Amino acid sequence: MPARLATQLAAFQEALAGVDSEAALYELQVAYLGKKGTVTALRGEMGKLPPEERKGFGAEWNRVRDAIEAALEERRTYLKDQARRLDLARVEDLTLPPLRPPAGTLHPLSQTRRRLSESFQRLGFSLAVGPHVEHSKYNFDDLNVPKDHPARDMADTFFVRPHRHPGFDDHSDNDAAMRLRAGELVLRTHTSPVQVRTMLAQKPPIRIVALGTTFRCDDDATHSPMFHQIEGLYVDRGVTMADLKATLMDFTRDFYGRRLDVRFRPSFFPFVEPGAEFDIGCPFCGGEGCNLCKRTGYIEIGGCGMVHPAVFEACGIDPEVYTGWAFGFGVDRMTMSQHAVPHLRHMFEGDVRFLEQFP
Amino acid sequence: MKISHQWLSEMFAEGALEAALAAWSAEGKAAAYTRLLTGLGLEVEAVHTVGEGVRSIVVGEIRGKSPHPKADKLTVVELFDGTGVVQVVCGASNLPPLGGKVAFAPVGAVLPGGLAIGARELRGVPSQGMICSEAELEIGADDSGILVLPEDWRAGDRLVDRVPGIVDTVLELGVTPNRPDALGHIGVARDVGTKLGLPLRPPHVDRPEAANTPGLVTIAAPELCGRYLGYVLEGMSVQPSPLWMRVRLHRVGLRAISNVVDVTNFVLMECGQPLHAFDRDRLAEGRVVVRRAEREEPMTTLDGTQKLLTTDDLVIADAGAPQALAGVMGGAQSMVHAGTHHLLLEAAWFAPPGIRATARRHGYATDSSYRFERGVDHGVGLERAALRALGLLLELAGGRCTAWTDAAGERPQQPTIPLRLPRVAALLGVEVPADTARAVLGGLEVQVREDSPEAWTCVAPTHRPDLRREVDLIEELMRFHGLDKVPARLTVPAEARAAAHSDPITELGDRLAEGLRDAGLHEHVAMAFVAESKIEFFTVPPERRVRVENPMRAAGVMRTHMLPGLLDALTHNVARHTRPVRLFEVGRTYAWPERPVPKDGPTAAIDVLLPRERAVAAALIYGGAKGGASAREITGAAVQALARVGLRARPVDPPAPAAHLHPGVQAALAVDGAVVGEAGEVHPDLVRAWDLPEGTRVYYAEIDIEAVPPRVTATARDLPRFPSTARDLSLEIPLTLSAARVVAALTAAAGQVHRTAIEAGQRASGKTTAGEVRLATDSFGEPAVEVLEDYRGAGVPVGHRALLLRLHYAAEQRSVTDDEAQALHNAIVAAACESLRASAPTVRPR
Repeated sequence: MPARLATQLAAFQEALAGVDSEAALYELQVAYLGKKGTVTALRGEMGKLPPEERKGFGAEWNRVRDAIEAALEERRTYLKDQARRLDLARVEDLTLPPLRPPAGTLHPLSQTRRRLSESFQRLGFSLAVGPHVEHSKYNFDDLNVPKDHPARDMADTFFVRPHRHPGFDDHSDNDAAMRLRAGELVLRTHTSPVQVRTMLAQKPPIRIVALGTTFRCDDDATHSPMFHQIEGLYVDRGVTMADLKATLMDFTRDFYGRRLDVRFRPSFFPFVEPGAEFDIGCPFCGGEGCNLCKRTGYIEIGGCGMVHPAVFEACGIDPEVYTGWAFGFGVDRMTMSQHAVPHLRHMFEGDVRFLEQFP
Repeated sequence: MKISHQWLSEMFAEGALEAALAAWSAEGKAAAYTRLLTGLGLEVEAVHTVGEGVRSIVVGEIRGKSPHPKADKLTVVELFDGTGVVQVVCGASNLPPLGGKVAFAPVGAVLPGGLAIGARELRGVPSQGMICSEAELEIGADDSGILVLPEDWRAGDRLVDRVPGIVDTVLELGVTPNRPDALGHIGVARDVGTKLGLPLRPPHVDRPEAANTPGLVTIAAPELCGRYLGYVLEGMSVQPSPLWMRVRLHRVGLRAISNVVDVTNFVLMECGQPLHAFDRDRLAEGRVVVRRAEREEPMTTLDGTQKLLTTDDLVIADAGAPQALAGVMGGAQSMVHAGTHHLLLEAAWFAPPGIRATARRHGYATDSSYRFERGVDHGVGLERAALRALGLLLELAGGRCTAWTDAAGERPQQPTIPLRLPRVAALLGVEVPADTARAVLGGLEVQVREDSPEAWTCVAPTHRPDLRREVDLIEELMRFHGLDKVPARLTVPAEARAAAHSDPITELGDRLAEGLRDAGLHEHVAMAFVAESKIEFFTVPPERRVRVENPMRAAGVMRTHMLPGLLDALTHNVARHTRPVRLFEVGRTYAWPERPVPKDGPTAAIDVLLPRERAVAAALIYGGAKGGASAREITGAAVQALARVGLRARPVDPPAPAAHLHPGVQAALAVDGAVVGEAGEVHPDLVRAWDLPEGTRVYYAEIDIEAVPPRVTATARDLPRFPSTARDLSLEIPLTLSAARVVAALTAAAGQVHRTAIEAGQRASGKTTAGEVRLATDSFGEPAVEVLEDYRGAGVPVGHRALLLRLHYAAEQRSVTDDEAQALHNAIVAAACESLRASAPTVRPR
């Protein structure tokens, strides 16, 4: 019996040397020490030994079992180590082009529009919207631009053919449509009709910003027949032009990250009085003078002024009680200068090689 | 509007402007004018210093002329330049006779255009300088020959001494429509004088000594003509104007024609007042009638075009026919010509809206209509302009004034404007001192009565029709006090402001845009108008299209769909590169509603007249020249966009096929059973219409933003405790039967089998354990039926495909055994096939 024990141990040791996987190691363990293992079987036969030999054999058996278990453990550690070394020897080049879903982008105009909208919302301006096809009453008349007034020439207007609903001749609204004369429906030439709509719909205090598409018959290297404007309106008791200046300066701080100077130059827009153009300290050089501001330290942004009392009257607001200011400027040119876009046409062509530049 | 510094100077005491400008600012004339006028709202767009090169030009006298020995067209001239005789070769054909005077550029002169004059040889003959044309000296437009000077000028005199003001600074002003007064030098001078504290001293004028002759002018339309001054001049002679007049007109961009016409143009530029001169011998009865035209009354204007007039047009007629389109353009018949010696000079005020309407109706935009439609002076300024012209005519064309009259129509009333000084601060946040206000209003010729220190009553001068109410005067005070003095001061501190809100549709559009961007698409912005030919494939009928009356780029219809704009962009891309094109746009489409849609709110009466504008998000995918995009990418992009707003969308069979999509490759996009959009392959006819290569596959989807339901807050479901068991199913179906319908049929069958089993179980045992095993649901509570593969290879009959599906089965309280899953699966498949066969008889499990 002890001899068989020694034989088993020798056989185990020989087999162990050939084991090169965890699975094979487990198989070997089962073959010798499992329930039906050969070494386990020898222990079962211990009862057949004379009692005086049993103790010695038992001790020997335990020694062999311990030796096998230790060898197994050592081998297991060795194999794990070996596997880890192999794993660590792997090389994969992560400077290869990353795998990602195709990258999309938002249009630079959208990005500017969103930033403007967010800035002004932080300054307490709610977003207001209006139709693109507008009635001349809201686009012109109520904004103090009467029919047959030269101020209408300030914006070359697209006119929309009025519509008559066939088969609804008795409908009163249709009658109104019938009475529409040519030239009364237009593509809005500015976002200002949203001012009128807002003042007709709500009482002061009014603090809104209108942002959107506008249209003028103008088509050259620097003018697109469709473009984008933003317009702000603030109406309440005691609103002054000093408030407008402070608000525009606050806007520059929010939008450009630093508070820039704001400069007014007298100008004329029929719906404001006094009217002004406003410039801001050049955001690119901070007012020191650079190519983008033509060394003046300022860039021209847009128009502004105190809401004309005639506009208040058209909207049912008493100009003796309330005052207000409005400002407006083009989003397209601001976007182009922000991103140094070389040609206006890039903005509306939809060339993916252009659009993908604005992540 | 071009303004000459020399001309402005003549509106003040001699030398006063130059001195005051230098005292106001040391930065130089150009910069000082720019800052001064731009600060007053008269924007200086450009400043030109002109005539510097004329300084070296002298008067030359022709002493001898002989033909050039080698060139027919050249003449060798012996020229006396005041000190000696030099030889000059000249190519002009209008050389005056011996003794005649010309403009001579001696050797060393540099002409205004930059040409340096040197001694040179012209075809073998030496030439010591150059005889110049007015174009070469940039003092006129005539380049047909040399400038011939008056014979009595002395040889050797410098041209700059003979023509004062020939060296000048010219300002280009952007004059806003509210400032007709600034369309003449006097008006600009009034602003400059007020700012610099200089009294205005315009040139002296005299009234004629002739008798007032009311019969000269009859105003038959007093509502359109407020005032008409007429002056008769006899014994005139029409000839070219003197050089100073021609130079002055050239400086402000006008062309010299003849003394009579030049004088009217001169006064136009000096006073901003358009004048007209009739050849009185050609006026029937020598008088004028200011009246409305008759319907379709013919008239030939002096540009030679014949017009048919309307009763809204105002004409200046003689006793019979129209002789001028009032305030817009003169008539051909009575225009001044070389033989005119008898004039009727007109200075009038016409109602601005009428002039504007007439000019537009007949397609004119003249210097005259431009000023009349903005409103000229109907008061002292009008008469001043007329008298200034009269004086110049007598000086330049001779003759005498024999009759005049001042006929009155309905003149605008000058409003009385209360001015409350504290209101300035209330509006602008800055005070203007009373002394400043007094000086500004005085300078502008506003009459002021100071009722109290704070409340004044003002009457605006007739040359400022824009001053109508208190704010207009406040603006004037601010213009001169300095808008740059407005401080920056918030009315309400930031922390006391109400919170702002966004616009829901804009917000939704922005989120969908982000979803489409995340799906790898680039945002495009297309024009909102398209050519009619580009929307003919779409379903909005012609009568519902919104049309632009005066389109550009031939794009006369507001887009009814987003697809044409995206296809245009695709065409642009395909013509330039071979890469994939993945684009989207969020914008509006336009159409008249099928029937009037009632509106409410304060703007309803207007809104009902407007077309419907729909907010749409649209996406387009093209795989590039090598192909590679799949139709399912477009549904994927749309579903991803909707996921961005928290919605689970799925493609379903379209309720009605979209005409612009391939009939066999399209789906509707549904959220909770409601259709919010469409997706599919662009119809091959459209691919052809856009001239894309034959066989190009383009995929398109759009989401009707206003149809997108609001986001629903997600409700958590408990997680299944026991695993589910799956069974695969390969179903042979016709090509036209959609996966969405197969899944729907399986789901419906599962429900039906489940209910039947419960009923049967209850009948059998009175317990509810039967039916405990059922079709599992996914994390969102939807039936767990997966579509794994769409097989169309060998072994499937023609017109069919094999759809591989996987159905999951589960029970709530325990694991499912293979046997019960299989039994349920078999029952569901059988029931689903049976229901599908009702419309597609060839459906069978494989």
